[in-house]
Amino acid sequence: MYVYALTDQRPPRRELLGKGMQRRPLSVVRAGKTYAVVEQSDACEATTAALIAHDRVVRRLSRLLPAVLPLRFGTVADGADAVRALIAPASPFLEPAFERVRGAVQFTLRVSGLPTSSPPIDPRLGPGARWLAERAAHHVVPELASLIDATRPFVRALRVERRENAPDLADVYQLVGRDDVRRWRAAFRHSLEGLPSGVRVTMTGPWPAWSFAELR
Amino acid sequence: MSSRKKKQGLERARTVGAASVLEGVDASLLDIVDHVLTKGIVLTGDVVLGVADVELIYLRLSALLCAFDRIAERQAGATPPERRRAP
Repeated sequence: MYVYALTDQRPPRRELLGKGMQRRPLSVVRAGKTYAVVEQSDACEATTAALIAHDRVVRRLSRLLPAVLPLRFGTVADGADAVRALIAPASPFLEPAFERVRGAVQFTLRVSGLPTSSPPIDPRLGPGARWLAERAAHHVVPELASLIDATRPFVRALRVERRENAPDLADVYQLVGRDDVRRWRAAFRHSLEGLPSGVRVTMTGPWPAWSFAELR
Repeated sequence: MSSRKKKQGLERARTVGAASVLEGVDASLLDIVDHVLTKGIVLTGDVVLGVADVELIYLRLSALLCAFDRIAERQAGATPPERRRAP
């Protein structure tokens, strides 16, 4: 069985799930309060078509259900019991994960251009504090300070990944409640005027909450 | 929309300068690959416990599933961060 996503609500009608990448009807495996959306398939080859098909299924589910946790490509289990065995260790972490993504979508921002100098790390810090400060700096994008401030009221969660390969500066993922999407878009577009010269932002979305489907 | 407001809108778009927004198909395909291969939940039967994004305990390293970035890191000779086993 190929597993696409987890949800905490049984889909209203099975036929609404549609078909998976192997064109077989999707079905549901119940694991306690969680439902795994699966296809009877052992496909795992990461071709472009397969990746697009996996994404398409997750997007369909996200339109159908309020809280969907996408699975990374390639989760295959040997039957329903094996699916339940995979889910079992994650069970304590699923409820907060569902709440985090419930009724929300993700916008993905790719930032490129000329980097802004980050403030130096305090030399008086000990090795442990320095390590934490360096790690924290990895999640800050000073080039987008005005954009992040402008969209903050509409962002439920934020994830930032700095890039080390110029001209790519960072990938920024913003989780936005569906009811806030219009306001987020307006704030986002307005904030572009305040970006530093030489910085470029590519925005795509809305997506399912890929970057916020974490178990923690 | 009045012609004056239309003109103001066009002028505002031109003054954005170096910052621009693209919502193109190519960008979407890149995002699909990024999302599907490097994001989302990984169910391996193991759990990574973390506090403030710091991975404190990693119980067991299982086979990773079709993640291009991991394969690419191995090919580049990058070493994964050290893990401490739970007692």
